[in-house]
Amino acid sequence: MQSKEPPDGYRESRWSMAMKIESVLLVDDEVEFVETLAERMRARGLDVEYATNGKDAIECAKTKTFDAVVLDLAMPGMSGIDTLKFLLEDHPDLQIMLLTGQATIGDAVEATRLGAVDVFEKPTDIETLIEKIREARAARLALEEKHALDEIDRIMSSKGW
Amino acid sequence: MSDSESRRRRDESIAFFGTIIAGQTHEITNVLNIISELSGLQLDLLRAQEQDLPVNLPRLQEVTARIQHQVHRGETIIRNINGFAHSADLPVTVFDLKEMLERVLFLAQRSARLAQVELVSDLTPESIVLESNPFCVQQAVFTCIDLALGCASDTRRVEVDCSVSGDGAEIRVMSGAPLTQDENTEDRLELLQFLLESIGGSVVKRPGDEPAGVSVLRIPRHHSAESE
Repeated sequence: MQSKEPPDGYRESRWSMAMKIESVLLVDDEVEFVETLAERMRARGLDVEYATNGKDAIECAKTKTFDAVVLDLAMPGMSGIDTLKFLLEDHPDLQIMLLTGQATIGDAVEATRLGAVDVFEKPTDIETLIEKIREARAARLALEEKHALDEIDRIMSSKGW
Repeated sequence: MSDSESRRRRDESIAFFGTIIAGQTHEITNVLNIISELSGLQLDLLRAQEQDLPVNLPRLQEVTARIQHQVHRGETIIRNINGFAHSADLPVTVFDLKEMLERVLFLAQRSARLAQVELVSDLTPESIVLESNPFCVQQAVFTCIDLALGCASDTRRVEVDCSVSGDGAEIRVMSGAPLTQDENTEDRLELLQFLLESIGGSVVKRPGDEPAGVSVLRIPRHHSAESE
């Protein structure tokens, strides 16, 4: 059994963060699809929330930090592309991947240009998707660490150290 | 009608056909995606056996019932696409307008959902048998519904009904909201006029006329192929 004690030199907060399970926000207007996918992901140990439209997804992302957002393209009201833009405007480090049954090459290119980290076509194997969510979490933590180091550098420079 | 006008009208019909087919194949994809996730959930539930745990049979039965429901949903979509596709078989044929309107309303539900508008109907319980161009009638009704959906952002509701009127039928599409004034709207109103005239019918009340948000289409009971 693996020890849950932090290794030497590892700060407690960092350790608890690393031990946290992956958190994901699923956004899809097909309620039955998104509910079932959420249930299957939760059964695999992920912390999952879901929204059935872009507006709710944006609200949800304001209240919680997610490792990844899995977003559908064609939704009533705000489109997936617009939701992607708004989410990244509020949370530039958010790892957003598109999961869609209707993506054209143009959509995929546009989504990637706007900052989506991946585009998947439905149906996607759940294990593949979870692997991508784990990668997204690692990328998010790396970005967070980089920002923290940049901030330390900035403070040190301002003090002339 | 000039060659370019004729070509334009043909292109509009093809575009209408494409819009319907593309929308409905997306709906079928949605159904298949749900079935894919539900069958995945079934497998997850069955895997309890691998760990010598009891299988949750009531849950498994519930998930299976949900799959069956999605299969029925898929069958309904396919039946409607099939009916729609065959409506282009003959330029003039005998058909039940009520049955056709039910199909158009079903096919337009996707557009309504994406526009976040409730599309409802109050169709006569009796059949209204017409001899006309079914594809053309469908295109006219869909164009009218599409125009209504585009301007129903406040009312959030579009209602369609039909009744026998004189020697034909009248179809009413009501959104309760004035039309958006732009070039696209003008083009579609012109198309609507053309479609109705080509089957000997008329737009009794254009959606832009007062009171705003109501269109009335009149379709004669008989329209011969020779006049096509």
